[in-house]
Amino acid sequence: MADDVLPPAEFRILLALLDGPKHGHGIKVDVRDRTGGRVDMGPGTLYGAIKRLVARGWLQEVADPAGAPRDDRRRYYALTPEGRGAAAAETDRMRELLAIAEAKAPGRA
Amino acid sequence: MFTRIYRGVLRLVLPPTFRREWGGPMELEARLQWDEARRSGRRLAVAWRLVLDALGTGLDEWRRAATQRTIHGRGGGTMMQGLGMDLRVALRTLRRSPGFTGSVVVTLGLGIGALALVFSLVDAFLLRTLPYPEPDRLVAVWPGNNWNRAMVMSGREELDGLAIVAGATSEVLVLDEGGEPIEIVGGQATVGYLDMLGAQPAEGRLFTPDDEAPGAEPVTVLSYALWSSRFGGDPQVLGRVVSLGGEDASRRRVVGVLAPGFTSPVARGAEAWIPVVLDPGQEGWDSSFFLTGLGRMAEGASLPAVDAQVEAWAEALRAEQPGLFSDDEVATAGVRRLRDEIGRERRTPLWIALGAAALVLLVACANVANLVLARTSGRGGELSIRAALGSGRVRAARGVVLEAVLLGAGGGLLGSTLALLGIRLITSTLAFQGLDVGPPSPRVLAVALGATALAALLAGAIPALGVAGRDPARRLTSARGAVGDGRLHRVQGALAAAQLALALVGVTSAGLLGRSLLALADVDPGFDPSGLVTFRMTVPPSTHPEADDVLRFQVEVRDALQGAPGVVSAGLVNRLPMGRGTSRITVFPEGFEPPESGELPEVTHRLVTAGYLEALGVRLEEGRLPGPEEDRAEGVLQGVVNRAAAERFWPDGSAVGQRFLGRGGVVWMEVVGVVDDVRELGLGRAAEDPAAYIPVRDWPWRTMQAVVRTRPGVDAADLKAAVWSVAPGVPVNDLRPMTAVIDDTTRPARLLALLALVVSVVTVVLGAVGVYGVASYAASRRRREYGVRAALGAGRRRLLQGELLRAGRTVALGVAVGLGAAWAAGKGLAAVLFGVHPGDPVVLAAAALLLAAVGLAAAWFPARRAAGADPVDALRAE
Repeated sequence: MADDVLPPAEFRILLALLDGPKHGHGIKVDVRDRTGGRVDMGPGTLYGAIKRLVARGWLQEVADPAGAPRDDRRRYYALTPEGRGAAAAETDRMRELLAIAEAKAPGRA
Repeated sequence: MFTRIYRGVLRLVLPPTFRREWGGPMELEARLQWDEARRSGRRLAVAWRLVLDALGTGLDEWRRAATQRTIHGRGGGTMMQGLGMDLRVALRTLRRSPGFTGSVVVTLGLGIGALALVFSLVDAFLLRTLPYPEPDRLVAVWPGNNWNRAMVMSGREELDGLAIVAGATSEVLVLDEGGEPIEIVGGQATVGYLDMLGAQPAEGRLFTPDDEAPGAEPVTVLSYALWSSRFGGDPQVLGRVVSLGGEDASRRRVVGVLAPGFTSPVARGAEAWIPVVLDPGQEGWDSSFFLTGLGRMAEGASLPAVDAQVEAWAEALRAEQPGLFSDDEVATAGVRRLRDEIGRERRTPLWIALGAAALVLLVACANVANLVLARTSGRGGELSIRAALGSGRVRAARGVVLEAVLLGAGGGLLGSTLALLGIRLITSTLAFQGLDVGPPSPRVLAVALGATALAALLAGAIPALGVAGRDPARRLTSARGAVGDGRLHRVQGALAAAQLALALVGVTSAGLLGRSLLALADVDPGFDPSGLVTFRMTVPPSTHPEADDVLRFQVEVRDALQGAPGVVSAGLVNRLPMGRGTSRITVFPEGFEPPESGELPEVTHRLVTAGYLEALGVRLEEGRLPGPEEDRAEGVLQGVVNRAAAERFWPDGSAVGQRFLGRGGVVWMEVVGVVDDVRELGLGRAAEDPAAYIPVRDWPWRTMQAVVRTRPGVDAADLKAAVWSVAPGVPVNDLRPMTAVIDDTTRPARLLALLALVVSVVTVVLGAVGVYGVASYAASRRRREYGVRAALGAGRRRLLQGELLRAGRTVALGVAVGLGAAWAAGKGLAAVLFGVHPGDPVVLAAAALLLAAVGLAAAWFPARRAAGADPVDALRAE
């Protein structure tokens, strides 16, 4: 499907990782702070989405950037090139929607 | 603790493959969110959100796992996969009948929710351990809130089973530091009290023995909250002298600030603590009894040993200080664990509420069992066909049980949600502030789960037994038979009867509590509350340092109030009738011989200005009421006693002109008038209790209650303006009509009656539905029989009679059992009833009649339908 909508939580996670790898909690905090606390993902929402993104090959687990040994509970994730592409595609899709909304109801969107 | 619970939730709801891979990170994340919630104090909201998040994820992942399995094809018929299929079948079956599923889930949800809600209150108030170190060593020491300074000193000497003996009480203090003076809740405690409860200073120190010595500089320890809000959390406050006035000092040096989060069992919510001064040379044994005695048991001391020690101490006190305590009081000497003591006032209502909730849940379960039963037997054909096709009895029964489990789980989920919402509502609105009900403890979760399991069991097991025990061949031939399954019908009848019986208990309780409330409303308080307005004011020590200033203020305020527009009369008193706390003093009436038991005569004493009794509207029986000149007079006090005191102390002649010695045997009062008895202790308490109204001039209190009799349309602003015309900025609080004060005292009774009313309505409705369900099922099974009988000439009336007679047996059984249960429940309520016998025949009879009528009415409609069956229709249906 061309119009396969990316669930908001997954899109937000992709966006959170655009500026570099983060661990799960870091992603959550990034999303929360950038939405002024409005979007605060619970653990299940967070890791459910991460699981699906990893399965789709958009996210991969990477080593701790600080060089600490791998802790099974604190894993770092980075975007794969496909993930970066997916984020860009979703951004384009949204831009397109926004343009339509702007054209039909200027100033309201 | 939280992590463990969360892990349990994950184990319950997540598919194992997902949990193995992602459970660890989820737990870590949940811990981080939980820590943050604890810091911001939003524990309940976050806990709930975390659980919902886990549930949502669980549902999502199970769904994904299921779609994947379908795609990859189903494997061999292992036990677990069979279970999965049964689960899907059960889900589908339930979805197909949304009306049935919805009503069962809602019924169970209400029952489980009510139970979980009440139990979490019980848990918070009665079962949870106290937030103090080694809570089991903390004890409340006889005689409760009746300690004086001398007893603290003696207790410290004599009771070596107690490492710390301390007394505390609350006192209104006025803080006068910049801006308007404000009233704050103060705590007065002997040295050791705060340490005993594990309080830690955030700044400075707590009290030391030097602080309680006579002549020591007055000091105070601020609560963290007061320090933050009024002093901006400024460490410089330490060592400063602030204007913080109570009865015995107006300025105090701040020596410490308590760490945040400390709550005291006595003087709950105190914003500043001050030490009780103890003077070994001065304290008389009969000085006022104002402290609550607590202790911490010494290392190695056992409760029985300490208990015995306190008993011996009480005996010794009686011997050394005759008349200090009555025989009855000494007989109750001992210690109690603080935990048991704290919830005592609320214990009875809470256990009653818990009983009521259990009642509702049981009725709900019986109802659901009946619904499931009716539905299962309606599906007899389907189940028998499945059994005949080789699905096996166990397998068939498993389907029914699984449905019940799903229904129970749905009910449990709904119930927990309702309970959590209810807790939030209660803690934010009702008078339970100051106690953190917090997130549900494991005990609460266990009870909620237990209730859910019970519900699933009752709703599922009974019908399952019916299914498993069936011979498919016989069932198939009789599936459309004319006569209902006799055994099934008997079980249904018994369940309906049980529902009626439980509903009768609910109705009786509501009736008893309602009558009790009516009786309370009928009580004559001894004065006329309509048109009376009261408020409390506290004189700041910064403007009125000396006792004489306080008295002058009180007299001037009284005069100003009497001159205010819309005021008929006004006066001041230290404690309102029926207010919190008692104040009893020992008196020595002239010419009165105390009885042999050694008990000295006591009165409830009120310190009043002239005008108080007039404003209150108390009937004068004899003599006169002291006039305004008495307020500033010198010499022997001229006061008033009530009729109970006059009859008790001077039974043979007039009390007027008699004298008595009060206040530690140093102050004489002459009786100049006798007034009618006022219910000083509460509407539900005896009026015939000796009381004395003593002029305040000798002992002016900083905090007094104004009582103002007003004409309609009086403006509250005028009353405040009158006070402020005497002393601007004096805090005026709790300005409200006297009727509101009285309503406050009956609030627990009204809440309880309301609860009982809700319970009775719910149980009656459920009971009616239960009877209706059984009757309508039975009637539908008999339609054919009736059709045939009608065709053979049986009258419709006759058929209806027969049907009602059958239902009547169920109703009669329910009512009979219910009467017995209601009688027992009444006994349990006896402690909270007023003016009505627990086995009140009127209430019992009315409740029995009501339930019988409801039961028969519920049976009437289906019976009429069955009896009116058209013979042709009924026969054609075969």
